[in-house]
Amino acid sequence: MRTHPPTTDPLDTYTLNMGPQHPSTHGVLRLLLTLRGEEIVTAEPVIGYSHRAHEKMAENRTYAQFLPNTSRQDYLSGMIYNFAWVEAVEKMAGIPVPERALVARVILAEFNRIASHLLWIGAFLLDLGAPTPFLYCWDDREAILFLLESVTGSRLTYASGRFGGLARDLDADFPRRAREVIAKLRARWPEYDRLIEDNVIFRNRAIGVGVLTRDQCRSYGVTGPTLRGSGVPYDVRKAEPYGAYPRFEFDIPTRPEGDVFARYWVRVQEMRQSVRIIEQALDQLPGGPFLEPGSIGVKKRLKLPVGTQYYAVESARGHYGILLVSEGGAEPYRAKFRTPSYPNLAVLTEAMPGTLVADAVAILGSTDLVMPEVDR
Amino acid sequence: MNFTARVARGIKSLLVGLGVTGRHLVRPVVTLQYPHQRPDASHWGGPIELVTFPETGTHDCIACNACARICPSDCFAIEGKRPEGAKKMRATKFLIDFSTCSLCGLCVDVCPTDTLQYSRRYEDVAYRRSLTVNDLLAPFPEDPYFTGKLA
Repeated sequence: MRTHPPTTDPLDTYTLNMGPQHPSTHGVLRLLLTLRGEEIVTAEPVIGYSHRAHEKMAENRTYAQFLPNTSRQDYLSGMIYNFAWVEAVEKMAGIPVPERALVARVILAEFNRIASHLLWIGAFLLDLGAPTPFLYCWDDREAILFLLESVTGSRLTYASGRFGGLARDLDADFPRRAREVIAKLRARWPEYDRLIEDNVIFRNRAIGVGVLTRDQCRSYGVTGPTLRGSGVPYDVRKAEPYGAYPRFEFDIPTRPEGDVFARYWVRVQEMRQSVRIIEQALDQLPGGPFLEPGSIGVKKRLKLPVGTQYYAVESARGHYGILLVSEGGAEPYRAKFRTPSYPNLAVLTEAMPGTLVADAVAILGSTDLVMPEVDR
Repeated sequence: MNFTARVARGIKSLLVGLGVTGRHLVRPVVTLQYPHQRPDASHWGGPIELVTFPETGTHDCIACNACARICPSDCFAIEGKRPEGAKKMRATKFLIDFSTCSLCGLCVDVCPTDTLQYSRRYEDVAYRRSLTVNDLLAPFPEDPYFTGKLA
């Protein structure tokens, strides 16, 4: 990798707008690239194209009315975001949650995480010019979406959490169908390894490209698989366990290299850990109610005690936090969302200079950005 | 690793990948041939509709506006009237503007008479925005509470 000092000569460089309609930016991200020939001198992300003011919207609607907004921040792992909001409110209001709902939430959230990672693998390899894995990933993801649809009624933007449990129960047949999906995923993994991980073209485009050091990640607040690909074993599920996660055994896959390949590898291993969690959860799935009996659900207006509280979960992209400030009313006084994609995007200004335009696509893809989540 | 070994390994990896694709060629087709095959929509949460109760043969909407109050998107337009001598109101107008609905299901949960449910419709299309307004009372042309058949 060659690096040149930044130049001020306007004739030496030129500016290229990558996006906001570029297919490899996965949404509406504009990258302002300053190029010297094919080499990137600076890369500046321009964001805000899908800003919908979710934080402001939270201030003028009740806690229950904000439920459909949550999964629209990150539409690829909406279930995790939905449950994060529900759990944040439950924690602040002190609403008890039945055991069955706690474990069911873990199952649904982990399935959603796998679906998100599968979509990422497919779309990322499509960016690198490999359309075949995309089709297989989509097939697997479809099985998961169908399973989640059978519980929630939706395919992507779920609003299935309720304060004190879930909107619908897992039916009696659900564990069998879930295990079928898991068997299907398991059978596909060796194929992914042979097709992608060992592939010479993918390895040459991924290994040693877009290296992010631990210190860069730390200084930008990078989290999730991108951070774990740089060798930092930070996972909210282990660092600040929430919900039913403490009772399940799983590892945090990390890799020290910090390149595109490491981030790919970490996500693939994470899917296997998610399956591990789901299998344990299915074995332990208790009976009983899925919504706390006599719980307010959404029927009554929920008022939270005065106070401030932070609640964090591990989304498919990293540390997702909700800062809730209540003044005792039926609406939050302030809701601040700490979304993982924003710092993961910011760090690219450090990773991209010195690489080629084709590598920029690989680096951008490897961080798994969801632009509506960056803008909120 | 020397150059020849690297080339050999690279070619092998491509052939192995080709083998994976080749095996998929002879596997059953996974794509749903949509207009000819239909997805199983038995759990799908589509646009809401009023439940027909077998005891009365009609819905049980009392025009309480609970759904309209909880709706985050303000989809509902509901009016009701009290039939002669009845205790409860009956809905006389029940419109939902589906173009703003996000299918969150809060109205289904909040309904005190459980007369709202998700439909299984997944193919609704419209050319004009005005056509996205669903009249939920359309399947109930006659209300037995108003015609005196039920009290």
